[in-house]
Amino acid sequence: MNRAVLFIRDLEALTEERAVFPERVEPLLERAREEAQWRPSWEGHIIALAAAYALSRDPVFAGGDEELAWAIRASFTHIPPTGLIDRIIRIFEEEVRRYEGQYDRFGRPAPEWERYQDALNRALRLRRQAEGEDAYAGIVEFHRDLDEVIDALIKLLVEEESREKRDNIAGIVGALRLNLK
Amino acid sequence: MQPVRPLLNDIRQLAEGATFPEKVLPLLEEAYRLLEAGKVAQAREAAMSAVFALVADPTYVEGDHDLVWLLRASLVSLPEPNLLEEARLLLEEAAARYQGRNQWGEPLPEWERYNSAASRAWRLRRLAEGEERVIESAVMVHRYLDDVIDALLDLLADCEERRRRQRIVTIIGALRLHLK
Repeated sequence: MNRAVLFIRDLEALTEERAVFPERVEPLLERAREEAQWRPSWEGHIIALAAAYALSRDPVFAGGDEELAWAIRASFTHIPPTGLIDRIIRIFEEEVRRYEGQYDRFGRPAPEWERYQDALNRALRLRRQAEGEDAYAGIVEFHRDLDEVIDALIKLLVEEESREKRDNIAGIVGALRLNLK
Repeated sequence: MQPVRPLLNDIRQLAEGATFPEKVLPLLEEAYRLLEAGKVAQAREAAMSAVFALVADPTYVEGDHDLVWLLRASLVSLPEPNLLEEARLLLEEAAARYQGRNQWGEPLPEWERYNSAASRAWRLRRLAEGEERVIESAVMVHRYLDDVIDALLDLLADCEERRRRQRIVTIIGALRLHLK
């Protein structure tokens, strides 16, 4: 599964649900799908970008559309290597353990536990995708998980008192950010 | 706000390498004309038409690194001047802490890193204030913003005071929204 396929899925959903003239976009999406199926992402991605452009000229999207902009933006996201995701999973597992069993005065789990548990779930989903499983409905969803994982790591940089650990986390954030560029 | 003129400059440069520049240049000229007339949103739309004409050019159709960076950079928006100024002050302060020389008489690497990021934040601020010629390329705008964020992340690791880290992280969060 490459990122072009995920991008095409988002464009398909936007076309199907909202486009006034889907017939101007669908042939391009069809070509993009064929390319992306057989080759690594670039050619499929290029044709998908042409479809995105055709979509941006559709009356529904012509004034500027946030969802379409997000899809285009997210299409530049890379899937990080599994080794890197594994390191992140270990960090979040440690944080989840640290806050395990802590509750606020209303008996709800500590917000830190929720934050790191959520980030851990997202990291696990990213790993499944990186390992070849079809874990996402679209590239925007994938981009969001990656972004949320980075946000949680940045928050951890505030909380972490050990300089050595902060250096380690900052290194991982730097490596992950390369996949968002 | 998205910096349109730097984007047009990048497109013009890539169009010079195109096989059929005549398919790109009229769109680009139109974009410059609209920009001069103060029609920024339409200028941007014409610019994006030119980008997609480039994507279809035989030179670029197989995939081109510069073009991908250009597409990516076209989605960057400029942070507010105040936010950039806050980032600049933090970085300048960090640079001041590392003033001095190493045993070979060179500036310390930390000083170089923070000082360079501070001057990038300063140029971004001036661009955000409307001084369009201060950064001529959208790809460079993207790179500068990214470098400023990277330096703030380093500062986050470097900073021992939790309250200060909290402040830095708020600025990073706000800046990152512009790269999304």
